[in-house]
Parts: sequence; structure tokens; C-alpha cells
Amino acid sequence: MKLSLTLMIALVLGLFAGRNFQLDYRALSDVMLYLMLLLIGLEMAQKRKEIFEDLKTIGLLSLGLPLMTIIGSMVGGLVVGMAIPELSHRAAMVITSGCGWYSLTGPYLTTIDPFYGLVGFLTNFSREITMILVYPFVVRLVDPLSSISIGGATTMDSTLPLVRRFGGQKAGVVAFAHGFIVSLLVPFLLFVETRLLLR
Amino acid sequence: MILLLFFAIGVLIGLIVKKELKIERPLNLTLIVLVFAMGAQAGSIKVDGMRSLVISLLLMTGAVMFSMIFAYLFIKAVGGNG
Repeated sequence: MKLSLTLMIALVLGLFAGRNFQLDYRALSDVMLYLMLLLIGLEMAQKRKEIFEDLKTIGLLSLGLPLMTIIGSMVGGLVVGMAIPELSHRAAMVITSGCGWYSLTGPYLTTIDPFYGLVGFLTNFSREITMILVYPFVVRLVDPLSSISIGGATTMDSTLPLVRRFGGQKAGVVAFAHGFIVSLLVPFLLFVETRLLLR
Repeated sequence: MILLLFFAIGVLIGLIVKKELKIERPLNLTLIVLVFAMGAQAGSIKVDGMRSLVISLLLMTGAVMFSMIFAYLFIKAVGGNG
């Protein structure tokens, strides 16, 4: 929660700075994005052993559920995008393909259009907040496993303790694998989609 | 392409280096600067923050709802209800 608050403050300060001081923010953003992707790659490689162990124990669920999350996110973006005049349905679909990974989706889409970047960040950031707020309730109404899809990529790290606490041990294992597979696919998905749909 | 290259370099370093590197702090710092720069770029083209927020909430709601529906149908189909 502390990081979430810091990020919101950074975003507001950035908006203020951008309006008042004309500097080359694009260059700063590019360098930081390269550095962040390098660190993400490093983190994934370091966690590979525990991830493969988890994947073995839950089988089909570990592959199917992340795919449903990604497809659902894309369809959701497409449907809402068709109803919003300010945004093309293609851009809306790319934005929701971030599946809650706001730190990647926002900065990456900023390289194409700053407006897409801001909406990409807010859409995916609010997905994490929504997961934190609604998972404890939804888990009772629906079921612990399908409710994991609300969190998208965040179920691997920030919302994992929540899933374990309210969904149980099995849901915790599924959530980790779910978050990992979504996190693995999202960068490639964003790359391919932006090439095909936005350029 | 450059982004994928940096990602691949990171994976490669992670596979080569046996000792576990603590990257949470630099990752968070990078993220904070990145979000600042992203906000600054949006601010420099005078994006309407409130309009962006409303659009974002609508998109998030759509994405979450359809993800849940698809996931629910899948869980029912494979009988993996926990």
C-alpha cells in the first residue's frame, strides 16, 4: 500500500511537472523502461525453480486460468472501447491486455501516445486496488479460483497474500502460477498488439 | 525490439548469476521515476486527468467482469473448484 501511495504521488507530481516545465521526459522514461525490463527479466529467472514446482502440482488449471484472464481482459477492453468515443476499441483492447501490470503497461504505451500511457497506468493500477477491495467478498459469492482472475498479473506478488488468506492454500498456489504465466505473456502480448493494432 | 532485448539480457543475467540478487529496492525506485516521467509526458500534452480516470475505471470494470466470467466458465468446465 505504501508503494501504491508513492506511485500516485509520483504520477501527480509528474503531471504537474509536465504542465509547468518543458523537459525531455521521454528520454528519462525510455532509460527507466529499459532498466525496469532488465530487472523484471532478472527477477523471473531467479524465481524459476519455485515457479516450475508450483506449475507441476496444479496442472491444467495453471495454464487455462491465465488464458481465460487474458482473453477476458481483451474482450472486456474491446467491448468497453466500442462504447467510449475518446478511445479506439483497438487501443482499449491493448490497454486492458496489461492485466493489472500497470508498471509495464503505462510506461510502455507512453512510448506510443502519452494519453494511452496514462489510461494504461490508471486502468491497470485500479485493477490491483479493485482486487484488494473485492476479493474477500467475491470469494464467498463465486469461488476462490475463478476470483483469482480479477487480480491478473498481480496475483504473483502484491495480491498473493490476500488470495492465500481468503482463498486458502490451493488458491494461493494457483494464484502464484496464474500471476506468473500472465506476467510472462503480457510483455509479448503488448509488443505484438501495439505492432499490429496501434502502429 | 530494444525492450525485448533488455528483458532477455535480464533473464540471461538471472540464469548465469547463481547468487540471488536483491532487486526489489532498485525495481521500486525505477518504477517511481518511470511513473513520474509518464505523468510528466501526459502533463506536457495537457491530458485531462479526470476524463482519463473515468475511462480507466470503465475499462478496468469491463476487463475484470469478462475475466471473471471466462474464468468461472473454465473452472466449471474442468471441475477444478477449490
